Amino acid sequence: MMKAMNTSLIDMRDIGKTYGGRDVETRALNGIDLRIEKGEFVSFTGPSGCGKSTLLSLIGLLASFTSGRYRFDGLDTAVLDRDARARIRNRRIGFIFQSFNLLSGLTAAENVALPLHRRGNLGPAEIEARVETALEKVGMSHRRRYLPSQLSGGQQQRVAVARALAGRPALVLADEPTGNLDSKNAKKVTALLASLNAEGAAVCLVTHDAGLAAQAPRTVELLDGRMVADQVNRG
Amino acid sequence: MRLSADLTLALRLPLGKPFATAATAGLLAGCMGLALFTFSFLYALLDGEDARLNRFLGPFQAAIASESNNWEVIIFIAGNGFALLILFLACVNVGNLLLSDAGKRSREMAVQQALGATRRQLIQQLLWESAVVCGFSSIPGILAAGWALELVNASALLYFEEPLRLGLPALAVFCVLLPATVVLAAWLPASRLIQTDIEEALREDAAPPGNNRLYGLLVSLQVTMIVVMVFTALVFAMAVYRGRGAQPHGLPNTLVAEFTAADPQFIGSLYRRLSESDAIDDVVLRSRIGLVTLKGKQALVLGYAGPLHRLGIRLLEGRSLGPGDEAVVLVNQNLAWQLRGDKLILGRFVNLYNREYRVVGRVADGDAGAAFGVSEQIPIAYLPFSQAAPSITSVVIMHGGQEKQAREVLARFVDGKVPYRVERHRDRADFGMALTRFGLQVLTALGCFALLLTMAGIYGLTADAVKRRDREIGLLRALGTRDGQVVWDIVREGFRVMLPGLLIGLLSVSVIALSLQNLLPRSLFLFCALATTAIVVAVVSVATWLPARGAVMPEPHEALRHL
Ligand SMILES: Nc1ncnc2c1ncn2[C@@H]1O[C@H](COP(=O)(O)OP(=O)(O)O)[C@@H](O)[C@H]1O
Ligand SMILES: [Mg+2]
Repeated sequence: MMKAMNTSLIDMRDIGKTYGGRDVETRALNGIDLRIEKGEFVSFTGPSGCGKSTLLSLIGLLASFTSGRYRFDGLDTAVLDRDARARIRNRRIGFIFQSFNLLSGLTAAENVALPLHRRGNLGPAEIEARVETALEKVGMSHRRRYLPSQLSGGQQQRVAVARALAGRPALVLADEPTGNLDSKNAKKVTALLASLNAEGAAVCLVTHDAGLAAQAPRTVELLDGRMVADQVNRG
Repeated sequence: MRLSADLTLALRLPLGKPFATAATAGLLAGCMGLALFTFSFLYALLDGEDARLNRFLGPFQAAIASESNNWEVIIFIAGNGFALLILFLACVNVGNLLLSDAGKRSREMAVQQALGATRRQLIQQLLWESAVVCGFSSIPGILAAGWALELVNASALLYFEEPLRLGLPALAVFCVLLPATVVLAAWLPASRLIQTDIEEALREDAAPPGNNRLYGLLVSLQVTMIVVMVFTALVFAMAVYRGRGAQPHGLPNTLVAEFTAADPQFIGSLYRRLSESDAIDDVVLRSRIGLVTLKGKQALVLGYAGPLHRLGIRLLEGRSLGPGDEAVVLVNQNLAWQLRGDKLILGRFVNLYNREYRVVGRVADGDAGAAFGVSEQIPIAYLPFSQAAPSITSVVIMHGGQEKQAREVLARFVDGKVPYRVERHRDRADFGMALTRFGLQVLTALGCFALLLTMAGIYGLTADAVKRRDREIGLLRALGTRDGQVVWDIVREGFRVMLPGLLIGLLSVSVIALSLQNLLPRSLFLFCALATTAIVVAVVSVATWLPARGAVMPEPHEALRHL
């Protein structure tokens, strides 16, 4: 008998996604077979419009696919309702966006705490401690009371990383997290992702930057909604 | 802890927009105060001298059933209905203002959903936000209502036996209104912000969320409500100034002398002597005997002597009462109807105070009751004055212009034996009607206020819809569409959307017109309907034209820069 320990974190079989307009249909993804193990670091590359963001949305249970089968940690996602998906996103997945997406009305610390509050099973002291640790890890604890508008882009993205890692996710999804950053800040964020991965989280990183992609142990290349390469990088 | 997190968030998000929040809260406070004030004021209006008579359901049915209208009850229902509709309009506006910057907010909602917030949690958060705004508004709202009632107390025009206060009934109403307001105000943003397609809302180039069906529904709904309110307010205003019922029906050259607890014997001899005096044309005695329950409805029993028609109460059939009459009674139209004997009422027996009275005549519902502090548009039985026990008696004296002389005659006959008070019938009627007229004016004012709110509401909704089409409009203009064309398209869309509302409104209006049909002649109803349509069309035009104008103000390239 297969033990649960051996199941892949992500197991996609022949996944397809079609965006349906009334008269125009866009085939965004087609025949995707993808397995990602716990603790892996995978980068996704490909030209604009090839379906990277769509794939990441599917992986993160933000959107539903039109064909195929997707198991998340052994769980068939087709049977999950909206609230169950929300629960999984809240407890198992961390998101990092290109445009940071911090809530403008909340301070850095409150932004990091918000998903923990939503979890509903953590006490205030526990939340407090986790927020502090997360902000320290990204080097932002001295800015904990700042509003997003008072932070630079790089600082905002570091807070967003703290928000993702405070939940101790099994999977971190980052869609061009360095797209809006200068190279110095981009390096910092990439390093943070690497350290997250070192602590055991699987990381999916979408990037334009070929150099950055090559640093990842595994690179998946997409073209016109299909996977055209899936290679392991050495060195 | 969860609670305080939600509350913190609810406080933070609107406080990020202090101006809009203040405006929202102020608006809502006004409407809430208005609703409370209207309720308390109208409740007191119902709770006056005829409190037992006017307890809600009885007169409500009577008002519907009788051929005339019971003003207090109509005003009570219409006034509170207006106040509730206004509160609803305010809720739409609050929702609108919570939605300001909808693009950013819906994105924040999507981010929260991506981070694992369930829909229930987000709705909870919006409810908290709404509760914060509504809660803050309710305090000034209650204060404003209290002050307005004080103002009415202080005004010399209106007199209530008890000073008006925000009593238990008003408090009970408030306890229902506040949560309803919170939910209603949260509903609009919730339906707009919490989208099903998270992925779509999260896209870097996502357009602000749009929902044209909702826009149409809300505009239509507001138009329906405003048509009903404007029409009703117009009819009432017309009734006050043109129609019958709410006009003071003071009689010229008439004095009313009021005797409290005078001996009927004494009043009887006074009556005879006055009738014989040359200085006086006619005398009518009118005394209040009490209230009885007939066929499950309350009826007023009056004793009278003299030519009743001089008080404007026409005899419809049978005969009037005269000297020597004992076990006979006159019924007014309203009571006749209650007794289900329109045609056959004459000769029937009515049991009053354990005695059978034979009906000898039927009279019209009177208009002169205001001078005696009651409405006569209720069931009334008129008994011969000789049946009256000692109570409040009014001696109505018609004098043909010699007022001073008539007063002197009266004073001579009374000769200081019993205290009394004498006033002109006109002044008493004016005073008696003041409250009703004021109530009608309050209704009219509410209608105007609602009109303004609707204008603001439709303006907000249209501005929101136009903002969503910002880029599209910029592109159209860049490609050479004339500004006038763009403006016209937006205004036309507004009209297309409001048309069902207008039709439904006019339909409801015809039902209202039927139930109020004897307030006004038919032609005036038609006039009111036409005027309402014109007013509503004008309001919608302005409310859609202004944001359309705003959309073509900037240079086309500014809108396109965001592309
Ligand atoms: N909501 C949508 N409706 C229709 N088509 C869409 C939608 N979102 C994405 N697409 C299409 O799907 C394809 C993949 O898009 P995306 O995943 O965003 O690509 P990438 O992130 O690699 O640039 C594109 O052709 C895009 O036009
Ligand atoms: Mg993309």
